[in-house]
Amino acid sequence: MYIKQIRLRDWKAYPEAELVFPPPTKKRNVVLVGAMNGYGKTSLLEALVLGLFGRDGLTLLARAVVSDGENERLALSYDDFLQRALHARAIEQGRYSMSIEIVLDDAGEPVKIQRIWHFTGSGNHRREEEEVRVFTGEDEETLQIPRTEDKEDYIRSFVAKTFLPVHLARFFLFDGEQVQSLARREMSAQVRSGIEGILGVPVLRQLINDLSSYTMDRTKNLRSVGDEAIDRIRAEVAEEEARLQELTRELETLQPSILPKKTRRDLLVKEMSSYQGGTYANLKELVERKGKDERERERYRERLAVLLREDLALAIAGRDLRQRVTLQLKGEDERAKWENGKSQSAGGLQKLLTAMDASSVPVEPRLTEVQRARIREQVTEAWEHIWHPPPASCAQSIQHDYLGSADRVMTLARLAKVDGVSLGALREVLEKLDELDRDIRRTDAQIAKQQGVGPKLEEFAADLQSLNEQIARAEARERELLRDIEGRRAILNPKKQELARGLESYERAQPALRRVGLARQVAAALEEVIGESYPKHVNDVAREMTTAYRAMAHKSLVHQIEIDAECNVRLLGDGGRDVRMMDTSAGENQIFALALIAAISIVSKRDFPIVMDTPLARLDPQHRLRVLKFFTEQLGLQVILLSQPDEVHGRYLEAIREKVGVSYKVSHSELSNGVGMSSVVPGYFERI
Amino acid sequence: MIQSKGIALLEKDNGREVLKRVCRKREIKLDLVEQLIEAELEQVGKLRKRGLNDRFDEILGQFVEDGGE
Repeated sequence: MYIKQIRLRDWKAYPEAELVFPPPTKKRNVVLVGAMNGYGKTSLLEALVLGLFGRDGLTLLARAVVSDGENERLALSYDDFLQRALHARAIEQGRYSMSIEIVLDDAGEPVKIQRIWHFTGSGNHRREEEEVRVFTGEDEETLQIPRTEDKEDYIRSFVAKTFLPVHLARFFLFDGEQVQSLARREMSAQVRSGIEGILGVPVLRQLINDLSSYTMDRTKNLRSVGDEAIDRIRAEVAEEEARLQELTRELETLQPSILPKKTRRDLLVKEMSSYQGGTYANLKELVERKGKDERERERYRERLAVLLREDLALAIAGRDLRQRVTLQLKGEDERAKWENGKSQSAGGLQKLLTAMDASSVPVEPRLTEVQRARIREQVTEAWEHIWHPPPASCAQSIQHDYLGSADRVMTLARLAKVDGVSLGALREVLEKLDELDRDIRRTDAQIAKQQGVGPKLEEFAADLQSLNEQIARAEARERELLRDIEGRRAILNPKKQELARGLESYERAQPALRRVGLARQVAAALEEVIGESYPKHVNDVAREMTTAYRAMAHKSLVHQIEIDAECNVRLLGDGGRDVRMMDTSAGENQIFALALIAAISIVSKRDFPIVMDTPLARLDPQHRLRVLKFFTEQLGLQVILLSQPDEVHGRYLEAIREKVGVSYKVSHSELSNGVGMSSVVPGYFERI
Repeated sequence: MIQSKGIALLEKDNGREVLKRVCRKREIKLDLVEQLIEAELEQVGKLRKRGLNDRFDEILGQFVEDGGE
């Protein structure tokens, strides 16, 4: 599969642009597009991503996402991104829409995706008028969408099946500089998502979810069964789900609002330091340090709250009382089992006596009624004797009769956990909080010293203070929402389990509901399959990654790459040491990320093109050659490189010159007020 | 056999063996699981999956009537 054509209208700096790529061959598989910084290289990558995936592609775009080192979140909403993407002169020249057309060739069959976005006169995106069309074949026949299907959904599914699912896109379409985010040690979630993506785990997980929704749906109208308790739990589940959705929506609105405030704060700090002749870096570092300490303090406060809320009361009760309760509960558990066994055996005694009465075995001389009654009494007494006395481990009586067997187990586990909580843990949290308070006060004093005095600086300082407060409030709310969401999920899941248990009893009673029971069994089986077979396949990725890393890295520090079940990646050097624990350079991190990308694209066996924006920027000369050779020779039938003039040039260009099938250069002219206009022409910075 | 290129996990020998073993243990027919996966694959990428529950009914019903549990 290869990208045959890209056509843009009023997209970013391009009023119009068309790029046509020839079919790649083994010998000529590279497309080279050259552009100076700011001319529209990344806009081409963004056009491909949004053109293929629409709204779903937004999270893949570096300019729409912000990372705080731990998490990624949207910095711009879809509407904001599109409003900024519309060419700056389009509206004033009477054009109220922009479009992207991408033609891909899938084994000789062209498929065109066309997206058109419409805007109001003031440049606002008209969400409801967004258009997306797919045309197939040389005659460009419109893809027929069944009437029963939602158009957008159908096309999303078509793109995932025909080209690439969105969760794999970041491993085929990427920005060389941003790709480093994959190299962070805490990015195991992304590594996991990539590995799960190529193995198809998301489809299995989706099937599990859909089977769960199916069971909910098919049992919701079963009022005739008359189990009010189940109706009540179902209502609670629905209520919790609605609340969860509400909180998630609030979080999605809040998160994009934080970045602009941080950007404004950075500008302000820069302005302040230039005004009073200080060092921007110092002041920025201090402000950042304070923010980090404040976040950490917040985390410790939360930990303290948890300790106080959950464990303190039980801890205060004392070890002695806890041990006595534990002993009693264990004894009650034994007693309950004993009583249960005894009561079940009573039925057995009755059966034995009836069988004796009905026995045809002759007894000579015949027994009198008195003798028979006496034997019955003896058998009954002997039977009773089997159960007495109760085992020594049984409690004398069951005092906590409100606890079921499962509740007792949970209570015992809770009590055992509290034994592990020492006052030391509490003291440690309190000391850490004190230390953070001191650090924050010290940093505040240093910031004040840097800021100096004077009316203008006071004004700056007041603005900075206000921004910091706004950011702190927004981040506190963000944390609160994340906590709340987590808490709600913790409530929701047991409720769902409770509902499932209740429904199971329906199913046994109602043959028509056996389908639901079967669906639930399949879901459980799939969970087991994923859990068991997934880790084994992770090794395939690790092996490919080792090969790719060793081919691209010029140092031979790394002998083997290892990925554990949690998808933490370790680069093992001599003596099994993790090389990444040492201070690796940005370039080395980039090699690591590129190796991961290569491994995932190889293992996935997708023949989708590789598109790299700024592929070599952070690499040293030796890495550049190795990366270029690896990506153009080992990966993807078609490789599209979006390069700056000082990247693929000179000897690097020489290394791939024979493989370049076509090249383009982006030219740019400044109009006015920072508005520019880009266009694409055949050629490159150097003669190809 | 699952035809789609979407589930590499189950196409590989190892994954398939695990699936077979789990199905045997839970007394579920392998064919049932495969049909359900195919139904899901037809809906890949969609947010609103029209008709999926009816399709599940159809597939599961066939196995319930067959005594396929």
